[in-house]
Amino acid sequence: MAPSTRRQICSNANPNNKRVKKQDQTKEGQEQVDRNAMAVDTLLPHLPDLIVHKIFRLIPTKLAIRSTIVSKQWASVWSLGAPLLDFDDEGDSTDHDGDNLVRRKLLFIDFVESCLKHCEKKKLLELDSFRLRMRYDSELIGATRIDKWFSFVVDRCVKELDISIQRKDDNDPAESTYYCIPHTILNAQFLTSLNLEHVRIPESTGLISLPSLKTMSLTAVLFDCQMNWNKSLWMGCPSIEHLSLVSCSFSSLVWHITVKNSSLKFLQVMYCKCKSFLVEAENLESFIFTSEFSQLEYIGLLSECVRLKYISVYAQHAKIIFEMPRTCRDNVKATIDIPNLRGFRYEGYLLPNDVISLKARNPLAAIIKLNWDDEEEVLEPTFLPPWTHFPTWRYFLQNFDCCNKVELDIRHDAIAEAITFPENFRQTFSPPLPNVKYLKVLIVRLRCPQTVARVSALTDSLRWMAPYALFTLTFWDYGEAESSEEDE
Amino acid sequence: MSRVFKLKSSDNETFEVEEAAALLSETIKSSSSTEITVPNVKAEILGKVVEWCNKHAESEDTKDQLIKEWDAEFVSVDQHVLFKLITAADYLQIKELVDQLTQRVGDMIKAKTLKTVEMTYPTFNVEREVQEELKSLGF
Repeated sequence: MAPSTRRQICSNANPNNKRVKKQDQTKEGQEQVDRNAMAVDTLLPHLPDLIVHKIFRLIPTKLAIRSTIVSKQWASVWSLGAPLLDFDDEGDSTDHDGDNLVRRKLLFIDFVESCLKHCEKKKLLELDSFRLRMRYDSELIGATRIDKWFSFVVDRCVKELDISIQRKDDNDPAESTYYCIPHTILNAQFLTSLNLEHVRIPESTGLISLPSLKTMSLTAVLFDCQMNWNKSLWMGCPSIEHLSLVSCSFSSLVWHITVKNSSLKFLQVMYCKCKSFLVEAENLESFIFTSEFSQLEYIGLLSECVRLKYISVYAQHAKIIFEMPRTCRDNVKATIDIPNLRGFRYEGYLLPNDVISLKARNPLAAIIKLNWDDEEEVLEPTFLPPWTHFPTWRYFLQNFDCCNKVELDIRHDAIAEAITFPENFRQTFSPPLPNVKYLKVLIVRLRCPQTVARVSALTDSLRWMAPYALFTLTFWDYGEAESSEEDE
Repeated sequence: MSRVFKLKSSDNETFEVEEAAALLSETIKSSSSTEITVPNVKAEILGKVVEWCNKHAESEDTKDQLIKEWDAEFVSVDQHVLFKLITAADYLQIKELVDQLTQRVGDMIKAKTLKTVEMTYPTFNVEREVQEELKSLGF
């Protein structure tokens, strides 16, 4: 991406700033012209093309274009592939003079179009990055005019697009004041990075195809589309790895968001207004979610998300049910801060290094399912004596002390053995769930009839875990209830 | 025992450079011999490049403030010399030097201190077309 020094473009072709000097109008002979033509080249002597290309990356568009006028070599490097076109109207919120404001805006638009015309004239073939920052006023400039700029840029195989087209009045509730991005942007074959701010993504009339897109960043964007569309957006980005949605809003029909994409690695969703949010992403490694929307009801990281390593969720106001991936095999570090969490579902393989930190208030019901991998005939080393995982297991349970109800589903009796806290441990440490009122434990798939001693040890351990809870223990074998013990 | 490289300028002057300094150049690194002729680069320029390499070889930490100041001084040369240095550094493929020099060119363009046609030849009668273009773009 372009370095930030580029922001200081003096983009306004204000008549007062025009640098056209009053040249001496003396007639020059042909010789003189020739000599002077040579002078041009000695002042900007020949530099290796790659170097010139490097320099173009360092200077604002206006100066780059000027250089192409004074040096033929620089012009030829430019036309082969300009690295960057960067237009910034530098905001106007502090300028209260209405007329001057309008004039400046029109000048900016003219400047952009003359630059693009100049590029076309110099037969510019390729463009690396295009950056546009401006305020959009539909009365001054029609959207189709801006659409043409994007067509121009996309035709030249642009790789990075950074667009911020803010509305004249951010607080205007009317959706029509947004600039709708043209479909060409959603079909830019060479685009690797897309950053959109303040625009509106309209309902798509055609296929979305962004095969090279790796990074997409949407800020304050309005999604104006039907339910199915939001799925086709993710399907149109088969290589995307990094997705960030900040302060995005959705038209009322699309309040349930599903992000389904198999290449996504990093997903960040902040302050977006949606009622539910689901993620199905096999390669997702990192998930960050922050919300202050009071109508959020559900966040689910579905079972497909097997590669998750890092989860951070913070949801201030809503009453939410949160579901965590079921078949995560890597060590997961999760921080979940949802004060009004209604329900928490965790399903996983309890690995020693899973760090889950849960912050919530009552009332809350947590369901913890511990799975066993059927393919593994041999017990994991940590599940064999001497047992070293108990402190971690106890710490994990402690997270749920804020719950009213805890339900433990143990999917294999080998796990049941592993979670039975031994007596010496119980005597040394304090119970992890002193505040839980109901503890329900379900153990599935006995290998063989449990010996009385084992069951007794398990019961002792469970009762120790939640000493003040109403306690239920059920054994199931392939869906049949074999025996059930209830105790106070 | 570090090797000593010999760099020969286009006007036949030879500079001896210690291995550590010489290997800052990718061209020298991938060269099979220790005697390298640098075409189109005169002694004055080559000497400066060698000076830069020596300075950067002896100091490990390139983020050091002193080195930065020295570098800033180093690139504050006449435009002519600057461009010749770029050509030399590019030939020798000394990435950091090239970066510093091109950054300097960029800075000069932005500060409008880079001399291009109009500024040193105020009475130069630029071809009509160019002048019109400049005018139309509001430059």
